[in-house]
Amino acid sequence: LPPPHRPDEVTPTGGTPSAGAGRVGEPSGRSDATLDATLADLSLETLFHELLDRVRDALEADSATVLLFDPARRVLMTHASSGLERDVAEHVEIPLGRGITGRVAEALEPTIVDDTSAVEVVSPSIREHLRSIVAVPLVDGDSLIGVIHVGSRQLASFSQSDLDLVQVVADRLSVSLENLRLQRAEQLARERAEREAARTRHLLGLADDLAEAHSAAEVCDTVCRHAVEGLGAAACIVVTLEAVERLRVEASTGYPEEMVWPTIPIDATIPVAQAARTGSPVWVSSAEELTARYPLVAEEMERLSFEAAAAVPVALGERMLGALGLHFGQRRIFEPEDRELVVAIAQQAAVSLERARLFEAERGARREAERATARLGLIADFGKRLTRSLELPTIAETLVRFAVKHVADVAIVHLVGRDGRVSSSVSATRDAHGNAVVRWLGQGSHPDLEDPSDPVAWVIRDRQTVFEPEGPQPAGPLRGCSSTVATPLARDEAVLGVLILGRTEALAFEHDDVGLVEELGSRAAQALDNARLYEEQATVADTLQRSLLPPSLPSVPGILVGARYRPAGDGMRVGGDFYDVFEVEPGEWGIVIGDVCGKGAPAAAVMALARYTLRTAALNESKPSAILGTLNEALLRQASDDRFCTVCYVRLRKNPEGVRLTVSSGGHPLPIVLRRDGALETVGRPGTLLGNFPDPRFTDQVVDLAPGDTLVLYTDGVTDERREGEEFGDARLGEVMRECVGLAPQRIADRIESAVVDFRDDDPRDDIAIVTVGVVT
Amino acid sequence: VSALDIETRVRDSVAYVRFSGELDITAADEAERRVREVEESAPRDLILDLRELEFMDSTGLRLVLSVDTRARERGGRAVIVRGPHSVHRVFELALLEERLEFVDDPAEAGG
Repeated sequence: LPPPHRPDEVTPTGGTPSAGAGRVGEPSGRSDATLDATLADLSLETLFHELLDRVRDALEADSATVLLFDPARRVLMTHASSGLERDVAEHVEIPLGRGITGRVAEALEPTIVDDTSAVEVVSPSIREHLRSIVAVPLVDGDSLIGVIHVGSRQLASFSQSDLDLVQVVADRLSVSLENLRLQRAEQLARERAEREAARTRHLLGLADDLAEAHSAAEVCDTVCRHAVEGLGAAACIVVTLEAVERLRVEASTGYPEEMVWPTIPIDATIPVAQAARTGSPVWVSSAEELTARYPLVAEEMERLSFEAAAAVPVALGERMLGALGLHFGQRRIFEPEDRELVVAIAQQAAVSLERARLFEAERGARREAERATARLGLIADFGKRLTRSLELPTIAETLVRFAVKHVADVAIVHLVGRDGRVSSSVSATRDAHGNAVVRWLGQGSHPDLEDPSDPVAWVIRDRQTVFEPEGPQPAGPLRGCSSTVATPLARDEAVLGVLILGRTEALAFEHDDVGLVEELGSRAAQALDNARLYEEQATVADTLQRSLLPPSLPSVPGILVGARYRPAGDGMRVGGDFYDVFEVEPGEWGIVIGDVCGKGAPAAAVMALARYTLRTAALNESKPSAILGTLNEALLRQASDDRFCTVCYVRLRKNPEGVRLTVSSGGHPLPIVLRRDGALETVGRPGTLLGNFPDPRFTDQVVDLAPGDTLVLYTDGVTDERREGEEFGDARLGEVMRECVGLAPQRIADRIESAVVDFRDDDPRDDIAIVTVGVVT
Repeated sequence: VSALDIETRVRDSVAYVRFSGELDITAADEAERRVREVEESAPRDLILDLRELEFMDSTGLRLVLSVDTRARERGGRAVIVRGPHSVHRVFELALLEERLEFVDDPAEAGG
């Protein structure tokens, strides 16, 4: 509002002399008129103009002007004027110390200049229009605020009392200016505090929301939303460092879909990539600057009307995690507070991203650990089921059964034989009650391994697991399965079969499952390999053993011969025990029992050597001790470690009363004669073990058998058999034999064997061989 | 599971091997391996302590004989600390009492 006019106090120009004394009213009256209460409510600018007008009128001057001091640049800026408006419009500045006002400001002394042409003048307006000036500094305490000057077109227009008036006005102005400055400062501080509070609220809100974000994507979404809301951005993007040279876009808003790619090369010339690359914030205040700095996307920025941009790195200390990018729809000067807020948001993003990563990693690790534990349990369980099976078909069945129970909907095993062809195939599915249904497949279902297009053939050829996460729907037993895994059942060089598992669509195999399937396959392969070895070895052992024992005992007129042989334990290896009964010449027979100290093929070789050497030696030598001597020499010529053996050789000659036996032992348990009255006699003397010493000692002992007497030859497997540390022993053998009085020799051999087998719960540990000889009653 | 415990040590040029439990076919391979291991350290003499042995069959006999043979080949000797009767009987039966060096106490063997 214009101030009310008070004609009684303020005298307008005219009527009063423009210089010297005699102007209206006393200086105090003039100053009161100049500084009345109406000024109190005015704004600074209005106050300036009102005051300047009033001073000019009061002093009947031509101009009144205020210059304000800029301490930073040390200049006085023409701020408001009544009469010299042009200086204001042209922003005329006076350096401190220069010109009339500059000197007044510097000296802080009021001055009256009666003739401006006599002094240095900077302002062109003053020089042009004013002849005399009164100038007073505006100060607050000791510090300069500005200068007020009043000018006249006349020379020497101002008296001391004019100066006093200007001084009063200057004081008043100074106070007002100072108040205003304080007010301004206060307001600024309040505004800053409010902005600060808003930022804090904002960051707290962000922190709250981030606490709910558990994944990197959720964190980035939240950051994006808050950045847009909190900073008034038009668009926002959050990227993470995916690889050394690549950024992954985690979240974005405000950009058209076609502009946002899943990844961004880190050397892309866009603000967000630059921030991630350099680790320094990017501030772009105007559209021109945007175009100049990022010309490749200038067109798009223009189309989207983006006029400013900011991007800050998202980092934890030195570690770069990604960047946050913003675009704005208006030009924007990024004040320090703005910058701080953006950086603070990025900092929170970094902390939350890291936490989300740790959380995800931990959850992943826990899930992995749980899976691994379950898997180990499953594999251990499978291993237990396998341990008892030593037959190929049982193992294959166990595998498919187990697979459909725990891993798959359909399971198939093709067993591959030594000839590289599929020998048999078995499949399993589940019935309505979840029980495994096992079916052996006919030859028609066997894959042709020669056919290069058959997937089963690939698996075997490459010994590689083939995983079809979403394969075409196969035919045959896998019908209905959309996801399959086929793994070779291989051990070392040998492929023993293929395991094929199928799952229906509802629960397709994942990559993780492949490891489990391979592990099951590997366990099964091991069992299959063992079973195959067992099968082979048992066959070989059986064949070899048979070849080393007489296929049937010869029939000796008037004599009865019995024999029992039982290989040790599982029958996997060729035993070391052997026996032989042969005719040397009419009426003379050789009876042999022996034990090679060793097992397997080398022992079998020694056994064969012993058997044929004894037969040959018996033709040339008649004394059993000499026959054993010949065998000893033959054995010594063998270089093998397995050449030791024990042998008992018995020469049998018929005589009218019965038979005469000559017994010689080479380290072998001495035979026992069971007399028909039940008496037991050990026959022969210990002799040297064969095959180790060049000078063995053997003796020959003669014993006659009458009808009803039986000679029992045995190996140490009989007496050595143990049960919980207790041996079967000689005494127990004697007891069993005494119970056999009156039995035929073969029956006696049978009885002794079964007594030994019964004695032990398990299979015998060592071979057992028994040969019995009796005279027909 | 083998019921045989094997303890070995080598001091100076004498190797000492003690068998406890049952030395039979099920333990033969492991026993052989451990003895060969000791022999790798190239001792002159080898003491086989059988006192803790509860049982031995012909595979044990074979092991003892091969240890003896290799010791002789090296120019050393193998000394057997006699086991209980049931074990020693196997040696007697094979007439090895007079062929191998038996002692009742390892001290006698100079080990």
